[in-house]
Amino acid sequence: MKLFLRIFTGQGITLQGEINLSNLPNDMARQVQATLTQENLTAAAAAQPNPHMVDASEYELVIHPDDPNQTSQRYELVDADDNIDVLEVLDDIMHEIVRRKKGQS
Amino acid sequence: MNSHYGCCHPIQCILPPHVVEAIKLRGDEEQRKMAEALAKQAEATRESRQEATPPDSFLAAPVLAMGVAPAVNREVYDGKRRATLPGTLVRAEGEDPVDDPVVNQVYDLTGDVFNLYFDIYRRNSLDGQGSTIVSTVHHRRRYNNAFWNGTQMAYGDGDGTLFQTFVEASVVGHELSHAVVQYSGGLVYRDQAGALNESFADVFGSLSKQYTLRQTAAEADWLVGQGILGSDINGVALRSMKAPGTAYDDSTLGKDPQPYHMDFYLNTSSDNGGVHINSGIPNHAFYLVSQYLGGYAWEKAGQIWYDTMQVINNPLATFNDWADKTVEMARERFGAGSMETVLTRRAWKLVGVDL
Repeated sequence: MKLFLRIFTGQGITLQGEINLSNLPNDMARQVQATLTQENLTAAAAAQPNPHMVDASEYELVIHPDDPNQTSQRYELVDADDNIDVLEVLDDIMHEIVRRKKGQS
Repeated sequence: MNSHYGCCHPIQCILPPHVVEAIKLRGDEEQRKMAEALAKQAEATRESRQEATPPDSFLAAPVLAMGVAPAVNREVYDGKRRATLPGTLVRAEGEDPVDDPVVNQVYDLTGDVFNLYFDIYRRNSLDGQGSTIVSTVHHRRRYNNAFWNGTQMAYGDGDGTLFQTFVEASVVGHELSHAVVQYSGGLVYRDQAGALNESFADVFGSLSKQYTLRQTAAEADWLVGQGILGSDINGVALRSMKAPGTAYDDSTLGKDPQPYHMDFYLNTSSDNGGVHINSGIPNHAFYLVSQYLGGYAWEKAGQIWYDTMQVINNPLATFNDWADKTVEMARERFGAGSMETVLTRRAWKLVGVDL
């Protein structure tokens, strides 16, 4: 399973990258699989943003399954009070993507 | 309720999304519920897009000058890297510094922003009524952002790679100035109105830093977020008001996309219609006015921009609406033939906003 992730940081900067689930550290991969279920992501994407909140972060996640017969799933999420668990996993994934891009150990 | 939308059942008339946003932003509880119902209906149908303007009931009272001494009231909370707000209170107004330098920095920088608004514009705190300024530091894990959520500030620590911190003078001033916009009648956070909201926050974020350092327009760096990027990032800040589009150019972050002129205005659906991108245009106009007038930017240019925010009363304002009002405010305060008025108009022309 490949994950494409784009995060608009809320400060005018967009981060994006992709990573295979198999390339994530084991603990993180397990957490990703447990948290980024279709049910959780659908609920998280439905979370309503606070209309007064400015500079909120925005997230776009596309999950490409290994099985070519399965279709990719795309989700758009925004900072909200009731989807933090999912967003924090996405933050961790982006951190891992950036870390690899920068060649950090 | 104003007859404009009282004419029909909420879910039977679909206002343009930006008007619904205006209602959600400025309406009372009942109006906001109505707006949310409208938004859901719009989601379902997405057909009618009739033009509308916000009803008179959205009028917001200008902030009044205070004749009493200021009494800043700050509370800084430790989020302990969790998402729950506000967290644990670690420093209240008048208390001694604590061991955590981030807490003390936010406490001090928040005071600097309060001082600018009170000393120069006679505004008593964010709401003009002396409200407590609540901030949470260490928000979430490796969180690459800072925000105003309608009631308080929250600052992430950054991931240490792309961002080292979000506790920096112009960033703190920026976020708190979003609150000033909210309490001044608001600007819908979308398209040109949203870019003006962002620009106002950048302008007063920068002015807060300049006022604290007592820098003239010529001495200021005109950067927003100077020094917050990671050490390996090729860039100096989030944005440059002096030279929009030049703040960073990095393999991970990409290139600063801000335009300085309407010829390069970016029509996009992302970033709420490019609010952090097209804000470069009014940002640069403010920079130009400040340079033309010289001296301390908060004195004249800042006063014109602040006056404009207080009277424009249009949450859907375009760049032209805002520019028109800045010239009007310059004329009212400094005179029709004054250099302030002439040069404000000239600055807008130079960024492609013809009046």
